[in-house]
Amino acid sequence: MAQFGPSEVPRTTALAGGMLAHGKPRREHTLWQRIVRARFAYLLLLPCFVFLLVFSYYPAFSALYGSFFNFDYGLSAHFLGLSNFIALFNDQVFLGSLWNVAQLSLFGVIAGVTVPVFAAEWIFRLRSQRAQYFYRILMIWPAVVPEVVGTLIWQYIYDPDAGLLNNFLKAIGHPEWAHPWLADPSTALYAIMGASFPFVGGAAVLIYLAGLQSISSEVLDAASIDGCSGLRRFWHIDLPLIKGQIKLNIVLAIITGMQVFIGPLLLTNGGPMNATNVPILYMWQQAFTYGHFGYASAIGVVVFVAVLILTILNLKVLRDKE
Amino acid sequence: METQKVSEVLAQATEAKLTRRGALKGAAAIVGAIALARIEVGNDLAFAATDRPPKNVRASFSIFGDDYNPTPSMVKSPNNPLPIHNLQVVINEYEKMYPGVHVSVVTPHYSNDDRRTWEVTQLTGNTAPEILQTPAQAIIPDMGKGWWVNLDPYLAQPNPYIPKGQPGSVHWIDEFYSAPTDVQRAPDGHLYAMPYDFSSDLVYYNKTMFEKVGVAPPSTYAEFINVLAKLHKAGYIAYGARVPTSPWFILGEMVMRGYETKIKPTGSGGSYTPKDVALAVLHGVWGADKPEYANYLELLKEQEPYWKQDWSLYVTAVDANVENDFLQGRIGVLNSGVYMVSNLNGTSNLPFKWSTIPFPRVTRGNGVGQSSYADGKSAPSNSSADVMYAVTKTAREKGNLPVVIDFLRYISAPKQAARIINELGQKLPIEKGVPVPPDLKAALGSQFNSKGVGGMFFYQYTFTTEEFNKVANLSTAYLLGRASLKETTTAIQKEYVAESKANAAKFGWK
Repeated sequence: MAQFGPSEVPRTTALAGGMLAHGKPRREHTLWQRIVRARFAYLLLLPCFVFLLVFSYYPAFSALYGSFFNFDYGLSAHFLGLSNFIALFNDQVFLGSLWNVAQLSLFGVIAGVTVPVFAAEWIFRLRSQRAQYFYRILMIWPAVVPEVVGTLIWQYIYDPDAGLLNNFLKAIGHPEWAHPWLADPSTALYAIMGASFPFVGGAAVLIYLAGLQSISSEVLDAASIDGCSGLRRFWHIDLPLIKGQIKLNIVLAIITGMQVFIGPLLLTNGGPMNATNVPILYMWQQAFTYGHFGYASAIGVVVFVAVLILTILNLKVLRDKE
Repeated sequence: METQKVSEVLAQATEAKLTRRGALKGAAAIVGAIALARIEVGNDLAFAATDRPPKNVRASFSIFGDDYNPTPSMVKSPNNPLPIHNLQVVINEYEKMYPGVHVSVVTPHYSNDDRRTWEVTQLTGNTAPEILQTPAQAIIPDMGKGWWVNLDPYLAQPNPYIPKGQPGSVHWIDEFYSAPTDVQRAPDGHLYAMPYDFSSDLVYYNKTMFEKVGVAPPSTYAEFINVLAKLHKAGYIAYGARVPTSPWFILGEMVMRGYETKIKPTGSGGSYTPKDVALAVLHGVWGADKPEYANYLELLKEQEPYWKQDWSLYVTAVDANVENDFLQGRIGVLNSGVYMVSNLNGTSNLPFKWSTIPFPRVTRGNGVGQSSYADGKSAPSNSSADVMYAVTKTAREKGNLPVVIDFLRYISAPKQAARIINELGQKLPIEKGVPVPPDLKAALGSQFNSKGVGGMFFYQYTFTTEEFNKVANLSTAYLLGRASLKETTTAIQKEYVAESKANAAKFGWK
């Protein structure tokens, strides 16, 4: 290793300390100078920021602004203050949609967090690398099919007369169990939950799998020597060591659940009698079907705040437990 | 003429090396021509009042003809069961007559539920076609936005494409049958969309299925329920409707028709205007709080067990699958538009025989399917204008409104309308002097002068979509046993009053 005397401090180290080699303080560049020097890098980043501003930040802030107005495109807007928000919390359809989305989200968190753990664990324990690879691909494959396609298939499965489900029930000798699953307000929401069967999201499985693969082989070997295998290993070794991945999947499941839209839109359009309406679908109906853009913006703001609060709470609770 | 001057100046300037003075003269001529053009297009009526546009008129605009949009091919196939092209033929003729005019046909891609989204987006973004097929109901929430052109001043003028002496040659509006036209007027009394054809619901039934089950076509509502019960018991889907609420209103009209002898209609052909009904509601003379309304809901509930099981999903939409179910022989009775006649006739190897019956009349009595309020007379028709062509603000903003109006005059003239509407023979022409398809004449020929949806119970058709959906959902709650009759009628009456109050305040009705 090279030895350096006091006057032989490597140039890079000295520069990193803010000093020139001869001991004078380095001349600080202004922000503008630094931007100009790195102009090419900033130029490359510019399109990304422009699109982000135009398609993400501008709509979000204009919705926040619009939520304080009564406006419909083509008519002049009137400032309403908090009236849209007050009306919203007296709107039975909106309150019902909040309860619906809470149930859907809870189900989404439970099913979307637990089932993929088992799938990932099962793939992880396969001895053959080739088989692991095959099943990993198999899990992610459905992700390339648009959600709409899967949802429409379920529409046919649930068809009360020609659907697979009712015909299966009739075939096994239980015609009395056949039911208009989506058309009955008491079963419609559960039918929407069921439409995500078998609840194995490809992305969630990959996240867990990555966590499992990062567990040190020494830990697993030690566990094996100590006779800890099967369910005990899963419970006492694997699960605690992928806690970070579980936390991430919970947060993602809550965010996705709160914004659920396609299932209720395609399967029931929020019906029957708003039994499956959810805030985002209601927001869309208010804006484009009824022309209440201000009111719809208020719904958007409430959903944003709710997701934000839930995410912060979620992270805080999980961090505290750690 | 102005165009010629501009081109002359520009040509001179180019030939004689562009001098500063020449360039200035050219620029001044261009500015002058643009200003003159603006003045000309700003005066819409001055142009439209002329006999026909000058041969050298220049314009480019688009139309969404909806049911009459030409199909991509004229070859009949499972994916293209009803090929048509006559709208394009007529457009070609018009373009030949006026070589400076170009008309393009727009085919938007949206599902039934997204129609309004598409319209709002196009109109907000200033990209809507100049001529847009749109239901009159969809225009009501847009009143005051300046999105739609009031057609009354144009309809009061002559249609130069109609031969002298025929209806419409003096006042264009006279070309259209007045009853089904007038019920499409907006609450402010204006027509914002030109009716092009009209349609009505028909009750279709599977003759083969009826014979198998051993039932005869019903003529009364009590018989109807009995037939549905037997079809249901035999394991068939007894009844389906493309728009589930449509037959509800026919039933309601029959039960509440007694009020129509007490309240004077002010619309043409004995039809009620939205103002008539709104004031009747606000004065407590008519509404959902009357015992007849409760009786209508009870009658509806007697029928509900035999409906296609997922009907409740479509009370605020359209059941797009129900017609296919009927075509496959799975449904006994279907309530749908008259266009199904040609769909059924055009389907080869249909596995059953079919026919139509008039909507069953409600008889007086206290038994199942009877009402103590009914007059026993035949059921009313819910006929009304179907395809309606509205002119959007795009025409005004692009300065081609006079030509767009002229194009509408051309396609509505009997010679052109006959070719376009009767190409498939699915609907009745609303224009006088256009022959009626023989298939439809027997079933619907008498409806030209019927008040159709001008009956009081059809008032809901003039509601905003939001109010309409609320009333439909409240009725559904009762039909599914989730609300009592009293709760339902009270809640519906609240909606009726709210809507009537809003309209009365908006339009100054007293």
